[in-house]
Amino acid sequence: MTAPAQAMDSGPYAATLLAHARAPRHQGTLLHPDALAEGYNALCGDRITVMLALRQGCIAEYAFRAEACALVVAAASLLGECLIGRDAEEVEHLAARFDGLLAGAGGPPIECGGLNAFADLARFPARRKCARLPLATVRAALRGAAHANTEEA
Amino acid sequence: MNVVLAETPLDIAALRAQFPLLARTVHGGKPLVYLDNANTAQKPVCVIEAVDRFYRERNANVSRAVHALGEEATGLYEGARDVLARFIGAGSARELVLTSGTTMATNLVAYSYLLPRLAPGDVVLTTVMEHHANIVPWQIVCQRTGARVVAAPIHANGELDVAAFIGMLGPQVKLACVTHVSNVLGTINPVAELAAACRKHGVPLLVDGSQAVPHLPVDVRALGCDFYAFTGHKMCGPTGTGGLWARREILAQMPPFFGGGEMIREVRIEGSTFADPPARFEAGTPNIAGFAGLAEAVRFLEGIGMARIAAREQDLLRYATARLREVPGLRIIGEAPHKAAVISFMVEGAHAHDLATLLDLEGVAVRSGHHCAHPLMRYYDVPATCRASFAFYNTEAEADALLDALLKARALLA
Repeated sequence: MTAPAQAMDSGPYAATLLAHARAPRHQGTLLHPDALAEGYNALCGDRITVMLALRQGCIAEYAFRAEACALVVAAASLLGECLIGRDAEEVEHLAARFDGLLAGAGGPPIECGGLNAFADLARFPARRKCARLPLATVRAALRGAAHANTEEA
Repeated sequence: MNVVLAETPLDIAALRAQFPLLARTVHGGKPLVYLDNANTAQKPVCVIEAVDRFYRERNANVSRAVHALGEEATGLYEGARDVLARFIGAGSARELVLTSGTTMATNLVAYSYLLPRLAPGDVVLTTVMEHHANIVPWQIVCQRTGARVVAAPIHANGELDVAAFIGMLGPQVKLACVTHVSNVLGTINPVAELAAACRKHGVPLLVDGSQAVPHLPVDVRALGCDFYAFTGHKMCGPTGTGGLWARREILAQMPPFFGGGEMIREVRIEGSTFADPPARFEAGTPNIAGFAGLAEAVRFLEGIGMARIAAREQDLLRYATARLREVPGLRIIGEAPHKAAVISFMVEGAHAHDLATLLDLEGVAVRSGHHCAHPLMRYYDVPATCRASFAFYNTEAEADALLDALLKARALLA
């Protein structure tokens, strides 16, 4: 077997993201979710199911199952810390901030620190849909929609 | 007794020098390693210059103008038809409809040949390994008529289940469709055997030659099929070129699909009469510059020799397959004994898109995803694969570069 010669340009895969992709948090199943949606990007085959428990309109518990690339899994994992305690309006606000980050729009960092590791994705527009899928699926669950995708949006 | 003729080996460096794009770098100076040839092939300078020369020196419309330029443009376009017809073994250039590619060719067959023949309960037989261009057009016309599309299964190693395919033939089957070479698995299907079985059942056979014409010697008459579709851009020609070969008696029965200029004999407001094939199916101004380029591409490929191209690519396939097996956890999808230089693979613990992004950063261009073959992905129960597809201008060193990049990517991801 040939050994890798030198370190490679890790592109959009910041060390934090790879750590979350390898050992994701919030991966699992809620037995009695108040809201559930499936995100599926048919063109690349990424699939995620998001489950939410709600208390007084706010997200109390969050879990996901994914069959997807590292960017989807890392985003789904990092979202956990941002979602708990937020209501639908706050999640919409977070999504707008996250989209801005992915588009390289600048501005102050997102207060949920982990998501800022996706800033490098601004250089990889073809992969932005991956990072966006988990949050798009959470938003779908919150508005009672069963499905989400980020390839047509 | 087989006589093996000594062949001078291909001078790959000299061949590569004729492809300007192969010399470029990506991502801050990484030499490009282009292994996405099943998606589209790069173009030699003679093809690029033929397109350029058409617009600089000969630009005119075909078939109508009597002036010198018009005659030259018509000569170029019809000359390209002759060159292509000979290249694929057609009996006559009159049997070759020039199209924008395979997709337009299969759609032409769907609407002009198949649609008027379909009734409720009829069947179009295809296979699980087809590209969407050889599935979706049949579905659309079947939905309109109450007919249905059925797909013959494959074996786990990526070979077509020939017995099952033949067993599915019958009087209700109005068209059988098969790819000559799978764009995902690389499998080379036994088209002549399938064509013989189809003929016995009176079922016409359409062959998708998109991945075969660039890589193998193709003789449509020896294959014994009824339709053969192919595309120009995968065989070093310009995009927006391709063709549909069909038996003359079949083309003669087919009504026009696109109506307009070029395809008529006489037009009156109350009705028109149509030109004979192939002009009947070529309404409007065609991609004249593109076909000037495609004819040059054929001359370029013939200059090397399709048998030598096929042999060179088999060497590359053997070498690259052996090297890829060095990657721990790598699984190759498609291991038919008779296959072209296409290697689809997955690596345990690393998603195909993540691998492709990291390979790209090393300068290695592969495709990741479903490769326009959803039913095949479903058959193997995989969401996506990476695919490295080789052309004669690729090198063993490029296969090594793929391996190095894969090992690095795997170390990062898995």
